[in-house]
Amino acid sequence: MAPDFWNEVPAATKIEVFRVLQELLVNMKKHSNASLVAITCSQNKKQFNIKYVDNGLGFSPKENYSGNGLKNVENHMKGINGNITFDSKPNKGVSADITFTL
Amino acid sequence: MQFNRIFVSEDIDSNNLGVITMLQGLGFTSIGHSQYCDEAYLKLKKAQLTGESYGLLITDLSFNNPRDKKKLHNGQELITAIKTVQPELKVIVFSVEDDPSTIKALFEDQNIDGYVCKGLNGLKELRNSLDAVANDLSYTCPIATEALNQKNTLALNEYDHHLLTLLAKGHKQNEISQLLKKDGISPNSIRSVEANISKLKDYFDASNTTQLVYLATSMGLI
Repeated sequence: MAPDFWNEVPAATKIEVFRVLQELLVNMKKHSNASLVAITCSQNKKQFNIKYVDNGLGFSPKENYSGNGLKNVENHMKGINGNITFDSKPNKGVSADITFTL
Repeated sequence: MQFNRIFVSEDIDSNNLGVITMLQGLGFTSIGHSQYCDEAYLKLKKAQLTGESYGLLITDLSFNNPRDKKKLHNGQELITAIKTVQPELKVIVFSVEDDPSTIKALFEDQNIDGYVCKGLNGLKELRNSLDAVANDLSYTCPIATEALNQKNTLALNEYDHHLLTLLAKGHKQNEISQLLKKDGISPNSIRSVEANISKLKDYFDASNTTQLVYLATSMGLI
């Protein structure tokens, strides 16, 4: 992550991204049993991309998608013109792509 | 060593007063203070020019004030600016910030001497830090120490990233050292390359370089 990555991002957006990452990390701690988690940030002009990857138990997006947490996460991202996509299979860890445009 | 003159840079007036009162209680009489980074910088510089330079700066990190045309926006910038004109000035940071990477960067990049978190025992800790820094030691309050000792998070810097990329390309340690030298990146000795790689192995809990590269790749880091 470049040191000036967050400079251009408005405070309101940063708070939403913080909440999203917080939710992901709480889920990680509670359910995933992961030993490694990586969060990488990259930027292409006005397009910001934050990638979350862990090596835990993973989940099956169709079955375990009923709770409020991940729905809230999606709403958070909608609120800042962003998007979040999950990719996970049981026992293959979770990866999540968070994108938003300024 | 004891400090003759101390400067307090803190934007919130009640905190500013609190620190000054504490210092006066300890018997310090020459205390300068400011609520703005720019003003603090000018006062420190002026004192140096008139031969009455301050020995210690106690500064906050975040400054929320409505002044327009600010040059220095926060404590970090103030420290960088003042250290270029008065490198020997001792600096204690007194802030609510308890983010490990911020504190670490202050010690590593800005060469500060003490870090105290504002909190229940903020002033008491600040007093302890004065003693330590006066004896040329560095000081971190218990909250900051705990933050610094948090071992399970790591921010990969550009250098680590570069190392991982070179390893993934299949270079050996001595080749990496030469490649870094060629690109003007330091540290580039074989020894330090080796040390950094073994640090990364520790972080990733990898038993050898192959596993390290595998883990870094599968986490999407390189």
